[in-house]
Amino acid sequence: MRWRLHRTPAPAGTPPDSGSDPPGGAREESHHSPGLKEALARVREGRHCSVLDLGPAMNSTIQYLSRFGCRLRVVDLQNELAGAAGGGSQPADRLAAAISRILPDDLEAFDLTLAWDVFDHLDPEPARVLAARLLRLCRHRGRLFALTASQVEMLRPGTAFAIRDESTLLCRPGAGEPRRRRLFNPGDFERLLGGFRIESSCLWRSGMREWVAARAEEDPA
Amino acid sequence: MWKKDDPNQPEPAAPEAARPRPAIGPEPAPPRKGGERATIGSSIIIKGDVSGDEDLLVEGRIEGTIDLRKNHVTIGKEGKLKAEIHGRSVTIEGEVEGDVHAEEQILLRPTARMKGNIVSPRVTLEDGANFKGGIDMDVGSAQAARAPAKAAGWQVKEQPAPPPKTAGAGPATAAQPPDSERKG
Repeated sequence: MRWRLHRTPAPAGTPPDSGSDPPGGAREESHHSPGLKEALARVREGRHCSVLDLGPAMNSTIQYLSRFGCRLRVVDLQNELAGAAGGGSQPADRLAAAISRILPDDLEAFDLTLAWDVFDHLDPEPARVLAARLLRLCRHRGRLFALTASQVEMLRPGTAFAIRDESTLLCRPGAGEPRRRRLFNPGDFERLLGGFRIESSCLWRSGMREWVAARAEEDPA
Repeated sequence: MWKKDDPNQPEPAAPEAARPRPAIGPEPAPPRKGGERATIGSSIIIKGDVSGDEDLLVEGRIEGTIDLRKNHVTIGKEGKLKAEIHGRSVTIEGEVEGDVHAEEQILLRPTARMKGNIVSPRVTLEDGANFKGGIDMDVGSAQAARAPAKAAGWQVKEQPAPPPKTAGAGPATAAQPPDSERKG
């Protein structure tokens, strides 16, 4: 396994992109993402990849992916779980069942899954179910891009992320109160993604940690 | 006032590998034919197929299909559709449940609520629009296979099969909206 652990350089102070997803009241932040280019490598090859976005549909992501003729599947998982399982007050097994229903086995496989921060908002058992489900939905050479918070204050439900370009993400912070108070440490998260090989892990200046993972079977045995 | 589409205008080339398509402007240019646009008013309910050769504004309800592949289809704010839509370009301001195919582009306005699959080379989602489903921006495959979404298991919700069209008992078929509903 090879993985990097470093802090991102100071952000360039990029202003929010006026052409993408005006926040509608919430302030939109721009973050440099060192691992995004790696995660998007297959997409950028122009192979008409399939992408799974586990956040709300964001125009900036759509516009970026449209340049490569991608197929994008949008499953706003947090919102879906809130509707399907009644939100955070439901037992873990019900949430796990809802995840299996929302991401069924017959869903097509994907070259890239944009998981964003969904794991941060799940208890351990649903998180394990989701990780296993995403592994099954990951194509050969497929990638998983995820984010985890390093501070409890960053666990804001409803935060939306979008791709602006190959190295920049847009973030619209959610207004909800955090349901969970548990943070992943890097080792726990790596174990959670056991079927994946962590390709890179990088702590943003803001405190978010980004993860790029690939199916472990890619390893040349 | 409205510029008629140039039929000789070449189709955009199929996307080549490793050559990104140019950025897409947020505002579509709805194609019009001679300035004509039919309107399905808010009190109209259609269960069946809608087809024709002019642009269409839907403020009513439709369950079935809209097949206007050469024209612009607008689902107005009052429009509620459980339908498969085929248009040259499609603008959604109301509620749509079903798959939407557009040869040019699809625009979801802030009031749009859509659940289904989109097949179009250009898709714009304005802030506030609610979308759930798949977006296929692969022009080549979209043109090669008219129903790639279903083939790939992207179907969000199965539309009920239309009942057999028997005289007197079948669903109403509205090839053209009533004259009273037309806008000049």
